Amino acid sequence: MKHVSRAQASIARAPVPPVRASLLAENSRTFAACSRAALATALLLCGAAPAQEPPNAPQVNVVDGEARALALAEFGAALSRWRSGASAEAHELLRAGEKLAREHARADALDVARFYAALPRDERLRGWKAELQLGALREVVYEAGVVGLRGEAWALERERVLEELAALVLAQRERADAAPAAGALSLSALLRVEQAERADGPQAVALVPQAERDAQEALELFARLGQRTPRLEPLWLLGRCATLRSDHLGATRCFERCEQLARELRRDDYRELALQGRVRLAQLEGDAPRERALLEQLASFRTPDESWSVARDWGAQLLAEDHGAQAAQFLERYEPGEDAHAADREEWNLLVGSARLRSGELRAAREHFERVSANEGGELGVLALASLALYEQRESEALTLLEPERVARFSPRGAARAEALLGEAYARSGDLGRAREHLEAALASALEWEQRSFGARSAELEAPTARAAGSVIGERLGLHTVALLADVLARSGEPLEAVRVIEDTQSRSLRRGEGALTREALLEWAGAYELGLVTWVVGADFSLAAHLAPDGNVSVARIPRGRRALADAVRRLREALLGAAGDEGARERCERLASSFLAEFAPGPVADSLRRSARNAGKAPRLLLGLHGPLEAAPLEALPWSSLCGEELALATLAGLPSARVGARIGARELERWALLGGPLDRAGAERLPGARFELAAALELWPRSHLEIGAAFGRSALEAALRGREPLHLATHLVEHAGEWRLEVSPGERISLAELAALRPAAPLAVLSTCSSGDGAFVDAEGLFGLARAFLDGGSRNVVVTLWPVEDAAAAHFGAAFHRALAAQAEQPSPARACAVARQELRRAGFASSEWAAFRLLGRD
Amino acid sequence: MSATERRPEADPAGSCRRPDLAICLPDWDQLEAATQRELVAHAQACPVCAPKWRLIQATDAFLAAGAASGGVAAHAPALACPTADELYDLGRGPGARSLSEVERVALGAHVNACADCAALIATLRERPPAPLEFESERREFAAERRRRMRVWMPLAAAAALLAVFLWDGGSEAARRGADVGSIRFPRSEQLRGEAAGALLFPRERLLASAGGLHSPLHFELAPRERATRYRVQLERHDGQLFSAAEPFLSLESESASFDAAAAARLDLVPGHYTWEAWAFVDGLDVPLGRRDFEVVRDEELIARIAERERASEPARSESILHLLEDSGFACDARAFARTLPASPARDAYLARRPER
Repeated sequence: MKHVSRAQASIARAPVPPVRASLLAENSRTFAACSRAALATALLLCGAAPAQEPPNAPQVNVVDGEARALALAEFGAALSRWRSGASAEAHELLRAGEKLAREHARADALDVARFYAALPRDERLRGWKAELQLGALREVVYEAGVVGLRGEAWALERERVLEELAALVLAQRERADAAPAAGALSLSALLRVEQAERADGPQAVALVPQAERDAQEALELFARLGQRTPRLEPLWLLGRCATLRSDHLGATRCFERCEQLARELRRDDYRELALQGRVRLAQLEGDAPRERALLEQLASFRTPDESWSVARDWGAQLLAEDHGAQAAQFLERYEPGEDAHAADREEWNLLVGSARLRSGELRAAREHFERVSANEGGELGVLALASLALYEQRESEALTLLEPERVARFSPRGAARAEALLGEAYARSGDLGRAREHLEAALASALEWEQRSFGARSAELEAPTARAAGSVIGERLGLHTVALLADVLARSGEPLEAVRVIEDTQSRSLRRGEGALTREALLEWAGAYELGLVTWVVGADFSLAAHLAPDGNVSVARIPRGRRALADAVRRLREALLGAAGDEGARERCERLASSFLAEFAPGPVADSLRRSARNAGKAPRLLLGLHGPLEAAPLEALPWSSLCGEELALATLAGLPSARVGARIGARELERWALLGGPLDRAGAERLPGARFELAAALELWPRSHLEIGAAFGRSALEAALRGREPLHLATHLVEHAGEWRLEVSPGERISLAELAALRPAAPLAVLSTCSSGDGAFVDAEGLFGLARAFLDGGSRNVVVTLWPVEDAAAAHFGAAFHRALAAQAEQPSPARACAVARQELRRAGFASSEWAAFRLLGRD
Repeated sequence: MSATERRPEADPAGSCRRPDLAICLPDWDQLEAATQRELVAHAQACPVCAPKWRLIQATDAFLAAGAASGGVAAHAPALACPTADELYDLGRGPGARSLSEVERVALGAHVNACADCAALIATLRERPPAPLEFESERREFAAERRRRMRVWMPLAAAAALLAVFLWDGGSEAARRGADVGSIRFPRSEQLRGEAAGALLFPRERLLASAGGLHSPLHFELAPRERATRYRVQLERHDGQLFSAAEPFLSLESESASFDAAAAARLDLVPGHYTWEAWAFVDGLDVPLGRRDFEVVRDEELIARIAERERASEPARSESILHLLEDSGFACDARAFARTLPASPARDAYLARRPER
């Protein structure tokens, strides 16, 4: 593979990262960012002429890339000759500028040519001399990167370079040709940003303001001079500064501006850097889907064959998604060559080793890890070998590898990872006290990291449907550590604390603004349901189930299934339910799978505890399920709960406890007046969903004070008004996905995005979302699904009736009518969860297949 | 969902007791009055034939209305709307897949009849975020193309149908084509949205016969933009919730729809299988997902198919097609449809994607 980033080398090394793939990738990115800075330096130095290249070029007008490159080279040469005094004729420069403007749509070339043509000779020569000085300083930075100069030697050299740059700025800033001053400011900013990225904590933060001031002034100076290309570097640096300040929205805007300008100027190098900046933001936020999308965008013009960072980040993504064998195969295609930088080879060995470890190829994993641990940057290697030792059940070896003196020298993130590994090693050795201590330290470290990443996020990034809502706990630390800690707590005789940790770590985004969940709050939640609360945490290799009974008794059980196995089981059950129509054999298999699922995920102690609670509960008891990880997509309503909890069980489900208090249940009076909307028409005026009319009419009959917006009346304004209102809402329409975006359909054939809906903060006490897959969304580990239902729950809705997959129009109509009938029959104390259970049963009795009745779920507190 | 499930009062076995009449369903309007009455009475009572009967009635009503108004364009389309990708291909936006004449005609006919799709196609044509294009020029170009398409589509549809007819007019195949041209293809239920994922077929159940699979194994994936090839891995397992197995077969193709010739030689035995698919896009290995299917030996169904084989066209093809589809063997139904002569209705049926 080619190594375009070799020349950049690294002027600094990142703190050595922990071995877990996600963390590994995270830290290696810090390194990559540093080395990319040097790449920028090299690219500026290697230009045909310093700081002169301009223009804004709409791409479509350029028909011949070679001719354009030639014209640019001619322009650069003419500019150099004119500025250095080698040429006494300005018309050569003006001609070259005109040619670029006329033939290659680079209008600003002419502006640059006119600017320099108008400069007096002495100003030009002075500027040129300064430009050469700046070039020499960039050369120093570049060389430092090539040889990998670091430590004290580089610190001294950097200070010298910064001093000279400051002098250059002082001498040239007020001159007619201020371009060298602008370049010097940009280079100063670059050096400070890199220093800040290598530092940690307050030292890093202290370096940022000066870097930001320098980059901003450079940007303004280049703008004053009408030069566009040199603006790329300060824009990119401003993005990095904002990242360091945890201003993710600001950073995103800078990187987007940089990317846009780079596209216009056809500078793929800066396009890559800007996208890498956004990838890093996604990584910091634990937003795996956005990271994946950005990497795909990046690969569309910089393939993994051309860029190790793309190969590395994609390999880490595959690994994080549990595709161990495929990650190894992929990475082996892009092995850095013998001439590659040592750091790249280290990263590669660690990633391939981790992938081999994940796919159970221990010997291959060890070979890769040992190559790394033998090198200077031993932290990664030590963590990798400790992971391997745990995998091979040699806990004492892991403890030896992670002895306190060694861990004390680790970077903060490496130390956090070491804490998690130590916790696991002690847990396996039976030393529960020390295990708890280390696991809690690892968790605290991840929470601190998350706080730093999310602390300065804007409301825009907090939108419930925005995929930016990532999870450091889920994507970086790993729920494995949470599962381990909960397991240790349960084994230590603190099962309630175990449940608290499970719920607290997996419902933070729902409870944003509130503190940690308390045990008292948990007991209140469990006490509000006749059968209490069942919750899960799904780790990489095992999971835990816990039942908190209404009387406060807790049962915790370990499930020997990890995330990948569980996700595959959920998929299998869903497919079986969807395909069970029309064939007795398929239906029987479906029932077998559902029974197995329940037996697996409500194991012995949890099942016994549920039975006990059911014996003490009255008729038609309710059970709250805390669905986390892949379980949120599991059709749990199709499981044979009657074997544990009786025939009349009603399930309420939540992806996490949304607040410390359960709050008051919905009252009968709140249900007297509904907003009934649906039955969209297409653009030709044809009815899209005949069944919608049926269910809305049935609801209107039961709730005659409701208002109905159907057919042509069900337009955007009607929907928006209903979402702003506080009445219960029934919505019967299409929800369609296009290019990863979900949109609701209204008349006449119009589609409204979820972001638009979420912005209205829908807060209906009960919303029936009778559409396709209204319970689906973008999955964020440890946070849940972000989609239509989440928009309602975040807006303040207490209950949302959703579907897990597309349902037949006729079935949805039948369900809707049955749901309202059941609700209306409840009189004093309405229970949407019970109404949902009754309607599901009615659908089943009417002969509808599991592909229809199993799709409906009550998401909320009931 | 089968009619049996919708109507629990029906015979639990749910089988048609008058296959002699059932086979005449598609030609009911050509029967003598007495037989017609008998058939209608049977079709209304029989759980198997009732949905088909309703479908035939609806289709006839649709065709009659179309004829009365001078063309189908005045009515809502009878077939499900094409996918966005198909519309994009039809719109020939940058990077569009080139369509066969038949595909183009089928899609064009639908777009002419469906205001929604006609509007969407204009948007889809401009889909890719091509940097720095001249907006005004592109819009004009798109508008011009739309204008041309409106004029061209009906003419092209007529020309293509004529071409299909003339192409091999004297041969047996053409006669068969003419015979089966009136087949009513199965329709899907109206859903409130769609979310099928990337792995389309095979899914659910595949029919096994004595010599292996009843139909050739054919993989169909939702095409991925800029993908240069696709890889499919096949595993066999015992069908339990957590059963997993090592892949025993790996196939690659440049197309998102391909025959698994190698797998066919393996003669997949009855049992449970999982396939996993990957796309190669810009050098990245992109996971597309996993899906199960089951190979099922169903002697009774095979016997019923053999029975229908003896009927004359188009009843033979239509009844086999519906029998396979209604029995939950959609993949086999599609494989059977692929053996039928191309027609807009057949191609629209084959272009239909599962919605969940």
